[in-house]
Amino acid sequence: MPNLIIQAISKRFGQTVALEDVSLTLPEAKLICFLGPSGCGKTTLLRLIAGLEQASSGKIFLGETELSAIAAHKRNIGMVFQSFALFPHLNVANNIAYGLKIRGVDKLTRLKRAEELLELVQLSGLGKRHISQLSGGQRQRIAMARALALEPDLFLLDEPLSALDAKLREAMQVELKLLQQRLGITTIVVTHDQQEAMTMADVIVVMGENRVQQIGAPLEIYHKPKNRFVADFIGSNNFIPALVKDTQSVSALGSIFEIALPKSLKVGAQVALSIRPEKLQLYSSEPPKSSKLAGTIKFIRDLGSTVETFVEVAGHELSVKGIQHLATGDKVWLSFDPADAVILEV
Amino acid sequence: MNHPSYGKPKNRWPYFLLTYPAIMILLLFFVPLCIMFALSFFKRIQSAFFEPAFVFENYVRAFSTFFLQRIGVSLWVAAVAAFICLLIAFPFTFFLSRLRRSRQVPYLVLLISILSLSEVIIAFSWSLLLSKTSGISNLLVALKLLDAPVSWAPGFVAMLSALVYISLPLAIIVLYPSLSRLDVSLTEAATTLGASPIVSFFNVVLPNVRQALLTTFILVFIFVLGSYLIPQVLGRPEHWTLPVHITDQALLKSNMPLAAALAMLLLIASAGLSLLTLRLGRSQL
Amino acid sequence: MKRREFIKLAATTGVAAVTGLNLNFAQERSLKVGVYGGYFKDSFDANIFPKFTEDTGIKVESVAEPTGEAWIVQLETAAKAGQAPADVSMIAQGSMLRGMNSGLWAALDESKLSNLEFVREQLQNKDAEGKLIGVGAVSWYITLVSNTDVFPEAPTSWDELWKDHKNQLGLLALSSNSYLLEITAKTFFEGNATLDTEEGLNAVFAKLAEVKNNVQLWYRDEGQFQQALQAGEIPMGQYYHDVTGLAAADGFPVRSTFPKEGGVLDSGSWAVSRAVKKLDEAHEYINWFSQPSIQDLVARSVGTAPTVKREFLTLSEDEFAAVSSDIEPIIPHYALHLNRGDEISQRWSEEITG
Repeated sequence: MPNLIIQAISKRFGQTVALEDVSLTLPEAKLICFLGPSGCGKTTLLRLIAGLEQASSGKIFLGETELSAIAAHKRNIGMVFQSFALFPHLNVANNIAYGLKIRGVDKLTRLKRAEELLELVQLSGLGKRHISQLSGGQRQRIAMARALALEPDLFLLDEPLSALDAKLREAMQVELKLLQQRLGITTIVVTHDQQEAMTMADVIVVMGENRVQQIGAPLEIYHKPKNRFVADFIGSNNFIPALVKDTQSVSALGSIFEIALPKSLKVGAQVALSIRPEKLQLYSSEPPKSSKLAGTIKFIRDLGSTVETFVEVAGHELSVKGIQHLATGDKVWLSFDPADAVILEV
Repeated sequence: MNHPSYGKPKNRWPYFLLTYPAIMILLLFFVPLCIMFALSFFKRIQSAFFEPAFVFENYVRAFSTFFLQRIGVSLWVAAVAAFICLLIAFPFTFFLSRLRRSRQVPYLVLLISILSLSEVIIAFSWSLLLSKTSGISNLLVALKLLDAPVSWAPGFVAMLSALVYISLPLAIIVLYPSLSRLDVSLTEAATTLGASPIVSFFNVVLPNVRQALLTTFILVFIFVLGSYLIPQVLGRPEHWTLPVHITDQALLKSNMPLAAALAMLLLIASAGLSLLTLRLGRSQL
Repeated sequence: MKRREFIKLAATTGVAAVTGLNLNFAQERSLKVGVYGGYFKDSFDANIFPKFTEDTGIKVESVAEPTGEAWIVQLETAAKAGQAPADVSMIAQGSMLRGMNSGLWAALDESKLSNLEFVREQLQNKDAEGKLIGVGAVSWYITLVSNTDVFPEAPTSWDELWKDHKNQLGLLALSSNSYLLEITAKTFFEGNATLDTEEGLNAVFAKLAEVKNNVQLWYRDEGQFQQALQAGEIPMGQYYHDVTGLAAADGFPVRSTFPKEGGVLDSGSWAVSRAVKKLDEAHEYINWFSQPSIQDLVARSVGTAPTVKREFLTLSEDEFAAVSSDIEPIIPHYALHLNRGDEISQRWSEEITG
């Protein structure tokens, strides 16, 4: 299966801009997550791929084929909707076989295929049930089965797990990932849940403010955010105002830190030093490290699996995660490995 | 709790409150119906009024060819009007329910305001609108679409137009909730599964709104069946529905027993047809 | 009511309420009079009732009657309960007979009606025993009306309805209010007597059925036809002489013609329900109304034909022509519509309007 290429796509609804000049090349046979806050345009992009919206400008290709020139109902795309959109007037088997019926497949083949798909989503024998008799999780699986019945070129899922409760959601994340790996079908999942994206995705497309902010593997996105938006949106982060001293170091909170800097940065530029809370180490006495800061504990919060400590350093509050045995008001030292820090343009 | 009245509410008010709707239904619906039923068996005294009796002569007259034909005409007119009404109301409401909420409101307000117009105003407005001297045919002549102005009222089309006009807001307001509840993603799902817009309309939209369409049809049907002014003003004598004749009997001929018998007949015919339609609609689901 | 009078009245009624006395104000005599709602009631309220109060000191409360027979059904129902929604009512001739047969009307005392001698004989309603039960109130003519733009020449005979006027006529919808059977009988046969024989009735129905194709509108609502007549939409038909005259005076291109066979003279009578208590005032009112001078006033201000013989009236030639005619009128065959009404109206629905 070929790559999905999105070429300079813009979409406006009246005066409102939903997508601004989005260009992407998405690899085949992978699970891709469109991740971003609500209103960032991720669902619009998915709907453009499905053909449920028309782009204001730009084109979409699947390999050599221009997808955006094909009518929605001829694109051979399987889609799972947020509401699942199962047909209430049809039973489970007929829902799954709907696309086959449209294509004129005979009844026996249809029912056989529906049973195969029910097996695939582990709901064998439910073919005669009515939609109203199904639980939320079952509906979710039926919706996936229906979308996969036609062996689509692309499998699109719009916030597929948001209607499920937390426990079921986590189980389904794993299941969806396994299913995708088994079928090897290019799959795009729209989600606003970064944990969900981190769990499932081969590739994450972080979207924000109507454009693509970063595209990459989950760990790359997490550890090497390209900009403030991504660093802020993915996990929690400390942002320390800093000044570029030379090509090797920045000054922040009264200390100098030796850090690899992007070449584009000029000496004297205002930047942000971004460091994740779990990458900061806490010491009760001054440690023998080069990158360190002195401060006072303002507040401690026990999160169960870890403890979050807020430390005030030169009037700036930093969050630190990790087990420690200190108390509010204690004088402490913080240090980090410069390789864990990211310098972001402001 | 050892209170002696344990198990009974101390305050009897809730029960009295419950009896209120029951009494009202009894008083305003059931009692008049019984009176009408009784009246339909009273003896008509042609040169005076009527006297209490138990005679079937009113029903014998009601079952005459003439009145049976009138019932036939009434049912036919109501069915045609309800059908045309749905043909217009359904697509209109479908697209209305897909507009943005803020855009829907003015249309709904306009429709409700049409509902507030009386049948008298509507009947006479249409008779003017379709007249030769001041009606829309003059407009068509001005647009060179017609050679000379023509009179379209009274006539079958004139009567139907007004009946459809008066029942259209009702149909739209009844259809609106179920059509706006219809999940847009159902048709989108059908699209991604390969259904063209026409195909998805027929095998996704229609099956899911069929019950609402049927209910609306019956409601409009009964609404039109009760109309007497529009058929009287805009119809020719052969289009005069049974209610026109019931009104004549009651108000101009002092023949209350016959009017009551005819009304009972109309009531039974429309109730029977409505039940039948509903039953048919359910069984096919 | 002036403020001081109001206080005085409030004080006396207050005393009455406190002492529980039912004070009978001799000077506060009143009468409820029923007339057709709309134009009739408005004209009577403006011109007739104030004059009566001025002449007799009796206050009039006017009650709007619905048209058709709804009013006498109400009177009859109320009378059974000993009530009367009006003391004196204006009643159409068909309803007079219907009320008479059911014993609805109180017999009137001729000795209290000194002006009865002026009222035309045929407008004094007598019951089977010859007792007076109604006195003519107003008369009106149904005539042949036409639009002067469409028909520059006035028609002269009812037979015009049978000529080549496809879809040009507006006629009243019912046998019992159009009196077209009587018109047909008078125009082509021997008059109402023809309607009394079976062959005659069949012949009249057959003749009348010939106009069907000429009729554009069988109307129940007068306004609908009047509008169409004035606009020329339906340029000919039967309508009320007085109203047509008023429309012509307002500049509309319409005319009312008394055909040579005569216009249809219909009338309303004053009648009193048997449940009425204020018989003295009722008699006083009917007697007052029967004065020739009051009939002049009614003819001039309401526009209806007088019920009093012409020689007693002071109406000028033009004033008389505006409301009446010297041509012998067609009198509706009320008995036919009452006694064979169901049969006649059924045939009417089937053969004429059907």
